[in-house]
Amino acid sequence: MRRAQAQSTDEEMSESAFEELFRRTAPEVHAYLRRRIGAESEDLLGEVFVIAWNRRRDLPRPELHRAWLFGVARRLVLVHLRKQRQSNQAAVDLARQGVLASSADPERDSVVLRAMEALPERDRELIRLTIWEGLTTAEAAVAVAMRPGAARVRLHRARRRLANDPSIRGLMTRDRRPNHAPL
Amino acid sequence: MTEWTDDHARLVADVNPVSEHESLPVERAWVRLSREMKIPRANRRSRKVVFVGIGVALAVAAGGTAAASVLSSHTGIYAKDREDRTLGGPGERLNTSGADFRAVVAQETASIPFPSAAARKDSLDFQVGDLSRDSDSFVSTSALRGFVANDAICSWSDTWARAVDERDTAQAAQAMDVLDAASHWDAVRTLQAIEADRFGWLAGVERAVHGTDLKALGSVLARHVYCLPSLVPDLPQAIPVGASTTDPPFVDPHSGSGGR
Repeated sequence: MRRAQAQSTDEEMSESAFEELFRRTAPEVHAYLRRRIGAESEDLLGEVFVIAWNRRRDLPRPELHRAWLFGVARRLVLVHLRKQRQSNQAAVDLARQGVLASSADPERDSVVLRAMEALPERDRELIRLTIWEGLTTAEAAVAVAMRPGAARVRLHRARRRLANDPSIRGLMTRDRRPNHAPL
Repeated sequence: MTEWTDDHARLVADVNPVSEHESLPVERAWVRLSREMKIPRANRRSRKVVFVGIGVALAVAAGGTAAASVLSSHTGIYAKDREDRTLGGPGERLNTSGADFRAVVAQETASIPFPSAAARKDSLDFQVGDLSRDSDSFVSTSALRGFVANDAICSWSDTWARAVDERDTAQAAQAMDVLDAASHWDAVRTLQAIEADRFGWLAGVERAVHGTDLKALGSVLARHVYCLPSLVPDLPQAIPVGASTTDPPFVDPHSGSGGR
């Protein structure tokens, strides 16, 4: 958390205000954690908000609360994955299982997931935060601890790289054909 | 060169593994969290035993001095012999019940560097609250600085861990420099002089940081320092295994169930 973004006063958030923050943001943060680590997401959700409660004086201005919480959640996920020594593979596998089990087009989704895996972690995270979690670019920047301008440039490059991945281009070509044949 | 379109965004959205919110785990998390929020900030382990013990002894020895010092934490009392220095640490004995105790603690520890004003305030809040729970107890200025030095080292370790995670090399280098210099802080050297291995674990911190070993850093801190959770949000390894991510509950020493 950069102090420049922090509240300028030492006022503490009241319990009721904190509960309001929890009610408003916890479902989204929990969904994010489920996407990344699955079953243990509930424990990490508690940790995210314990940290938020302990650091309630450091919270950024209200419009960035959600982004700040995603940033805390992301760091806990990274530590969790490091602990598991499975690194990104755990998240990827989880995403695969969740997606492919219920997918109408598992082959297509598998291609997309593989193309996303090929992106650098932070680029992939920016794409996921903006598309899966619905964060604005400015919010995603806070979550991955980047300046908004840098995040915008990085997101732009990541999208272009993904769009130009040969397998994604193949998918797009295939989908444009009527009654496309399987890959 | 293919540009990004809504079709691409749709492809990515389609591989979102979770689309519905689950309310039960969130409710359970709130129940646990609201319980944690009600736990007062507590004292840490038993590290204050010696000092509070000495404080009570000093209060008895000083007679009326303790009562007279209610207005100020400054007592003008210093360790009277080698044993006193060894047990309680050198420096003035501060009355933790003094009305100005918070200001005195802030002043006495102002030279110890913290990465942020918020971290310093967290440490100050905890130390003042923890040390002033008992009336008529004393703490030496050197012991006090030692406690706050612990907090500062935790906080810089956390800053370093976050910088490594974020690949912020400038911030990581700054935190590393501060941690390297910690063994030369007055607060550290004063206590090292009377107890050679009081900060012996600092060598482990330096090794871990130079080896970019987050796990080792967390392990050293968990074993020797027991950092305040709020000072290590990005270094959860520093919290001992099985410990709460908030401070442990405070046990009232007058309740007959134990104490500091």
